[in-house]
Amino acid sequence: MSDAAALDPAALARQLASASVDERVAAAERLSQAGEEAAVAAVPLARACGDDDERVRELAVAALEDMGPPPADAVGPLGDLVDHRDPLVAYWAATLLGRAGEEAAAAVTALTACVASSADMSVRQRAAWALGRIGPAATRARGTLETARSGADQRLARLAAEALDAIGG
Amino acid sequence: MVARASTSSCASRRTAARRVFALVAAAAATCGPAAADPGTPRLVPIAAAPGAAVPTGVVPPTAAGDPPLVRIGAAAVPPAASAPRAVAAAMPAPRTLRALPVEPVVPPPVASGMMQAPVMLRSLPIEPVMPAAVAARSAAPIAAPAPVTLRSLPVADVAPPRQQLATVSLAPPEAPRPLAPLPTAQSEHALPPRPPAMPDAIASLPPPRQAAPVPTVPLPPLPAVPSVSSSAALASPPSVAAVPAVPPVASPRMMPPPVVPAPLPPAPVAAAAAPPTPIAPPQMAAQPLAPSPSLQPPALQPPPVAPQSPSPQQVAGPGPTRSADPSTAPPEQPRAAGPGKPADAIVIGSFNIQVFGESKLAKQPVVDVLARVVRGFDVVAIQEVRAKSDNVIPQFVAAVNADGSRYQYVVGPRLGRTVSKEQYAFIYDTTRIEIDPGSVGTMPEPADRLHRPPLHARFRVRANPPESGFSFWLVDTHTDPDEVKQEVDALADVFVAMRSLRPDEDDVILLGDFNASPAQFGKIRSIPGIGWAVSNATTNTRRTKTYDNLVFVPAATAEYTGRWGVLDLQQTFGLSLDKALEVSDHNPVWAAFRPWEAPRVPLTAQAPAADTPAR
Repeated sequence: MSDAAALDPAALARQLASASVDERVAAAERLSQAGEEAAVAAVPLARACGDDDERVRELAVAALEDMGPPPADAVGPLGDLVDHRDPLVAYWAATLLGRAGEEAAAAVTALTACVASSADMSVRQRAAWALGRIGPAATRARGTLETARSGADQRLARLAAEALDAIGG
Repeated sequence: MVARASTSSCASRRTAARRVFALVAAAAATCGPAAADPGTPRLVPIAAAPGAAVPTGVVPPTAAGDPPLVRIGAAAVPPAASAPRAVAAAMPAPRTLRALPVEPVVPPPVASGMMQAPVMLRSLPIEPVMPAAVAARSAAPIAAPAPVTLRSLPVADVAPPRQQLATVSLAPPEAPRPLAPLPTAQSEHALPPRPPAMPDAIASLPPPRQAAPVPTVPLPPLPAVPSVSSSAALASPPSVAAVPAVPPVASPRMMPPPVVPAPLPPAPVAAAAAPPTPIAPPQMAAQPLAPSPSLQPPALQPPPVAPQSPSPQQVAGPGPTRSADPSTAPPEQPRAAGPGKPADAIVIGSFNIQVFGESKLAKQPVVDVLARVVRGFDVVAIQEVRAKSDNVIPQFVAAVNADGSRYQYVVGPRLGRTVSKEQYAFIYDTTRIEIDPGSVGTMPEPADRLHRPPLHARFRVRANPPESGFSFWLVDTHTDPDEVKQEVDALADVFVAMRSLRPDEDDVILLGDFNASPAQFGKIRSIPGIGWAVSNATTNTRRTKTYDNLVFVPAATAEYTGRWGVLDLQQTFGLSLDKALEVSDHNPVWAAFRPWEAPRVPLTAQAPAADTPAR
């Protein structure tokens, strides 16, 4: 094993956008080992889920799974990613917003639209879950969630119901 | 392809999974015959030209609508394996480990009332030797596979001829069916004499359970088909009526993949020279756990039964074990040391090998560490196999076996709600453990709460006589960290369903990465008599979380020795944190079990609830 590069998540986040696949793989791998420290790279990692290289995607997912909530300043960019054309990017953007909890209130509109119209069911489900994690601040999503609650997809219906409970009102 | 499965196909699989789960629940009590289902995931018996290498791994769908397959790994099939019941010829050659002196490492102070002295021994190299009494020992035949429903299906990427594929029943049984006749030593199914799985020092001991002889049932019939679908079960609805009933037939192909016997070095010292190691009776069976209202498991309470101090022989083994560093280990985890291969027990492990794919496999130093970890276990549940290729686990097991070990594996299907999929795997030492091939499958859950439905398989310790070996279900799981509460509750339901799956199997061990500490086990904690091995110890490489565990009912799984641990990658292999993280962000966890099946304890005799770690 070669010595791992010193952990500098900000630098690694930039490295994720490198034109070199090897550079991107190395950055994603290092971030996957960074635990919660990788949170500063939340947005680049979410974007990396749409990388052309499978290794980058899988390592980015691994980093995202373990990093916990994103920093507050990531909410805006993540809100822009929930309608990303790559479902894996959108899925993880929604996941991170959910982890942010009420801090992600600014993303309620984007998440609500995602629940209503995303072409990918896993993204819709995760967006409904995220709205529940946001809680009362997501009140304006109630209508969409009520529709989802009575929809055909059982998991989405359950998550919407749980979100409505969490939102209250 | 598989990893890019469409949402609609995922939805259909989950719909099917719900149906399967419901049927399992309905059929759990009786486990009768099953009708084959064309959509049911199926096990592919490995067949190949004599002596030829056999491809292993998950087989992609062979045609539209075909579910994925699960293969049981085999390094090679010897010539004799082509004949019915010729598996005997392929049984592993006798191998016994000669216990060498073990340097005890001074353990940390044991808290007053500790149930058992910590296993803090550093393993030394073990020389494999030929047991002196092997040639004279007559082993009972391996249980013939129980009748399984077979059907012929074309398998595109498996060498012709068409394989006999095992399917499992999804239909509730009408009535209990008689067990298949067991082979006797004189039957055509009898295997030639086989050395005992346990080293001489153990095998030569008097029967371990003379006071409470078991099993009363002649044999846990391995072939009795569980009424849960096999791996691909989550793929298709159980259209039972669509498949004509096929008379159950015993298939030698469904036996565990035979292993080519490897010559062993001559024994410089008779293994029997080692002093016999006394085997403690399964005391846990008579010791119901007292329910505790506290969330703090009484891990350090005085044991009700005097513990048995492990002898050097008990902990000698080839595993990568090393004692925990008392200066860095949490004060209440004195048993957090690697297990090695105890002579008086089998060691079951769980290891989340983070993003285990081609990239990790290309790092030889990482593979070396992983291989050494696996060699310390008799069977290990793996989580987070992430690869498009089906070759990762086969190549890794080849690396494990590079030292002459004889491990095999089972890999589950790719699972996940997104295009990012994971697979579970079991890797087991065929010299000590055998698998019930018809038992491998994925357990879906009707409410679709599980991101990655667990992979289950039933194993049995190779013992003499075979039916006396400890048999058990392993249920491999990795929860979604963002939905831990729901998933843990779902796992409780899975656990209960698994316990009812076969009337002749009461040992269910749910193990893996729970992303939850025992305090967060939710509904699992409400299972009567439930316990867990890992307590008051961290299991991630950074030593900050308790995520990995082995969960079971100690009163039922009386084979549990009370020994468990966390194999700290940094300490065991002398790695820096960064280098340990290159191996995984999780440390392996393990627990040790006696190799002989303990008397079954009626469920009613168990404590109504237990809020404790397994003891």
